[in-house]
Amino acid sequence: MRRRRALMLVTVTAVLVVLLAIGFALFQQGWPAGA
Amino acid sequence: MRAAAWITIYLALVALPMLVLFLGDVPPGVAFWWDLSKALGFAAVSMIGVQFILTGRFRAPAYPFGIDIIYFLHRYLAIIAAALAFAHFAIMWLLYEDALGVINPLTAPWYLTLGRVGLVTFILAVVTSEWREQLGLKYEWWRLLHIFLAMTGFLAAVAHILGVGYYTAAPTTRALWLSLTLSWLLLIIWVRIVRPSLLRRRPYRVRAVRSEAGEVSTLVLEPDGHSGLRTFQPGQFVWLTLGRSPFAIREHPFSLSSAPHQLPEVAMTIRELGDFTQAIPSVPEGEIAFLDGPFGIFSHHRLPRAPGFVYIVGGVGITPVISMLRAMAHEGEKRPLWLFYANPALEQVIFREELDELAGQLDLTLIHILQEPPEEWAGETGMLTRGMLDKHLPSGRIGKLHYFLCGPPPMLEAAEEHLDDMGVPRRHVHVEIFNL
Repeated sequence: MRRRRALMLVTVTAVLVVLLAIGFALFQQGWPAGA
Repeated sequence: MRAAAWITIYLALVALPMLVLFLGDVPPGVAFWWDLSKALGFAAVSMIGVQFILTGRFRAPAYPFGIDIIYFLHRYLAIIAAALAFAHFAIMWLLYEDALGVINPLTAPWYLTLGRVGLVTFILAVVTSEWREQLGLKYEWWRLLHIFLAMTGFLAAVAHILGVGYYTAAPTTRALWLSLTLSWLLLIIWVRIVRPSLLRRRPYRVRAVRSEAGEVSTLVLEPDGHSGLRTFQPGQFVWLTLGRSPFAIREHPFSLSSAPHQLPEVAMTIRELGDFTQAIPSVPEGEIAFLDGPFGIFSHHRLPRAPGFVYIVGGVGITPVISMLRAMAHEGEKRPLWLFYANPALEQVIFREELDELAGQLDLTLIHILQEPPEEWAGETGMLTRGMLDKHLPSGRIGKLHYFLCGPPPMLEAAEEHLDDMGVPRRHVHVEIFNL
């Protein structure tokens, strides 16, 4: 159970890191408009 | 809440190398997938940088979680970092194959070769850790290999980024990036070179090796030429190196079984399981040893207001618990205590006589659970069940007590589920998993 919670923490972190990378790529394409 | 704070700090550290790019003149984007590939590469490298912090044995980051969970995070975050590094490569390979050039290291640009070296090294570091036993790698050799792979991979990846140089071309960005990398390197030097040197000045000597029940030995150490540990919380553990220098790789984590009032002498009770632990009974008196610690949050000293404690223990998991019970007897502890202690057979119960004595000195209810009980046995048998907990614990106070669990993972999983079903708040359940 404790491991399951730790695994959830890892999953959430991984998703956020990927979102961060996507954010970086979008920002470099000029998103949001005018940035 | 703790988890949210942890994720925020972690993301900030991972984002730092990308944010640093914006402090200088950030070059324009190329295309979404191209830039995503680069961002994944940056994220993978900084995640691997943070991996060094996680296992750097700093006390503060381990504080809210316990070192077992820190190693658990280290393990799974490594898999994710390697996956991101692979995704970085895969996007380039699928969509921009021309940019990757030839594979032959003799003709390929050095920075692209280093990128490939980094990727292969990270994957090897994960594979050799996940399947160490199947690969027949001894712990000591694996550790040496792991440090080598991690450092080679990290340096190759950083050189790859600077070599490609698209995002790190501006002088300010380059300087910031280099200083960031330098700080990771200093961290590694501190952890692997400076700290062991400091430990070298504080050697210990083996004073006695005592044989206990059930293929278990207690190793008693005393400081040699210094005052030893100033203090520790009963239930904490240390990293032990036996013989030679503290740079030796034969280093393992063990809970202290002695109590703080017995300092400067310290004792560890160790089951003869692996290559290292099997050698414990034959360690000669006077052998040199080095300790790094204490670490861990598995201690009743952190819970001065708890109304009572329940210990759920299997086999050699008694080590941190006997330390707490010894300390409690010395401190004149009055709070009620319960110890559920599971063992295969009566003759394998470690510290049996001492536990009986402690039960006389403390308000301690001792519940032995035996898988193979002797014929006249009237106590509990088989595996720990919810029924046993209900039978022995006071029904009105179950949710108020604090629970310390230490033993083999299947037993801990079962115990945690029983406690959850009984409505025990999660923050009242403290677990020590040592299955690194």
